Amino acid sequence: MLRFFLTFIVLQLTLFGINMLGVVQQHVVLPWTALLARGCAALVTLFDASAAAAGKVLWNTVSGFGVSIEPGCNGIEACIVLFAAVIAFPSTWRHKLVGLAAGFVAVQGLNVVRVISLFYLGQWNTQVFNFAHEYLWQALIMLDVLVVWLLWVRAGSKSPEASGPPAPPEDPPAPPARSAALPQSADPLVSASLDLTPPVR
Amino acid sequence: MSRQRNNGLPMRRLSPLTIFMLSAFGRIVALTAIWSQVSAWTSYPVGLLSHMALEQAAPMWVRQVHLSPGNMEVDTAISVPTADGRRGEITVEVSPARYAYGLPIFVALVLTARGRGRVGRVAAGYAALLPFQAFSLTMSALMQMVLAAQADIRLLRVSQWQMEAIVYGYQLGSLVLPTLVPILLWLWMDRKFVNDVLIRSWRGSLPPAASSP
Repeated sequence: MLRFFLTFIVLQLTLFGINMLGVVQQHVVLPWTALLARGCAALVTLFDASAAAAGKVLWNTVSGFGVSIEPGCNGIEACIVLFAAVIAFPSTWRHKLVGLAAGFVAVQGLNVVRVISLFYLGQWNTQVFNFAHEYLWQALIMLDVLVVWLLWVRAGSKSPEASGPPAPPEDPPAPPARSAALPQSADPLVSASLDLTPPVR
Repeated sequence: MSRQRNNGLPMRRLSPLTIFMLSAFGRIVALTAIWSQVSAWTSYPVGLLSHMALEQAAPMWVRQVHLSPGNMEVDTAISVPTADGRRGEITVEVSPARYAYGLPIFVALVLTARGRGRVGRVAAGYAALLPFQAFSLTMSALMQMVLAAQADIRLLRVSQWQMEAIVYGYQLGSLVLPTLVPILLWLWMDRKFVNDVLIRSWRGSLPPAASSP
C-alpha cells in the first residue's frame, strides 16, 4: 500500500503540474471549460429558456445572474486525482483504460450537476450558494472520485479472469496485525490483486 | 443475498459500498453544515501554524501577522504605488477556515466506517490535517502578495522559479489538498475497513459463480 501511495502522489503532482502549463491551459483546459459551459447551457435550456452560455460563463438572460466556470470548477483536478489513483493501483492496462474512461464520464457527469445546481442556488440564495460552492460540492466531487475508484477496484475483483490477475506490489509494507475475531480469507484472488494490505512474501 | 418482502417478492439488499456511499454523503452534508458554524474556532490552529510558516518562509515580505478566530491579517513590507502617486505597503487578509473544510470530510468517513477508536482517530486526523491546511492558507496569503505586487519579481525580490513555485503551491493548496488529504488520510487509517468491508464483503455478496475464481 505504501508503494501505491507514493506512486499516486508522484503521479498526482506531475499531472497537476502538466495541467498548469500554459500550452495545456490554452489548448485543453480552456476549450474544455467552454465546452462544459455550453453543454450545461444546452441541458438547462431544455427546461429553462432563459439560460445561455458565453465562453465559460453560464448566465440567465433575464436576471443577468451568471456563473463563471473557473479552474477547480471544471472537474479537471478531480479527474487528475482519479487518473493518478487508477494508474498507481496495480492492475492490467486494459482495466486501467476502462477506469480512466468510465471515471472521466462519472466525474464530469457529476460536475455538470454541480454547475447547474450552483447556477440555480446562486439565483435563489447567495449564502447557500457560497456554502455549496466553496465547501459542499468540493467535498462531494472528491467523494465521487473515491467511490468511482472503489467501484473500479471492485470491478477488478469481479472479473479477474477477464483482465488477468495484476501483479502484487513489489515492496509491500508489513501488514497490520489481523484481529483474531475476523476470519482470514481463504480466497487468494483478493490478496493477490486487490487487497489494499498486500501479503507478506 | 436477498431477503423476502411480506408480499413474497425478493428485495435486493444494498451492497456495502452503496451503504457506505449513501452514509458518507449524508454525513458529509450534515457535518459540513455544522462545521461551517464552528470553523472559526476549529481552524484557529491552522492560522497559528500559518503565522509561523509565513514568518519563517517569507521574512522579507511579512512585517506582522494579526490572528483572530476566523481571520488572519498579514501586514507586509511589499511597497506598491498607490492611486495618488505615493507608495503604500500592502496588507492581505485570509480566512483560516477557507481551506480547512477537509475536517468534516475526514470525520464523516471515519464515522461511516465505524469501528473502534473513532474518537482517537478523529483527534489524530484533526492534528494530521493541520499542517496541510496551514500550507494551503500560507500559499494563499503568499499568492495574494504576489498578485498585489502584480507578479513583479524585482519588487518582490524573488527569482522566477520561486514565483512559479508559489503559483504551483497555491493552485495545489487551493484546488487539490483540502479535499484529497482527508480522503488519503482516511484510506490510510481505515485501510482494514476498506479491504474487509468494502472489497471483501462485496465479494462475499456475489453469486457463487462470480465470486469464486
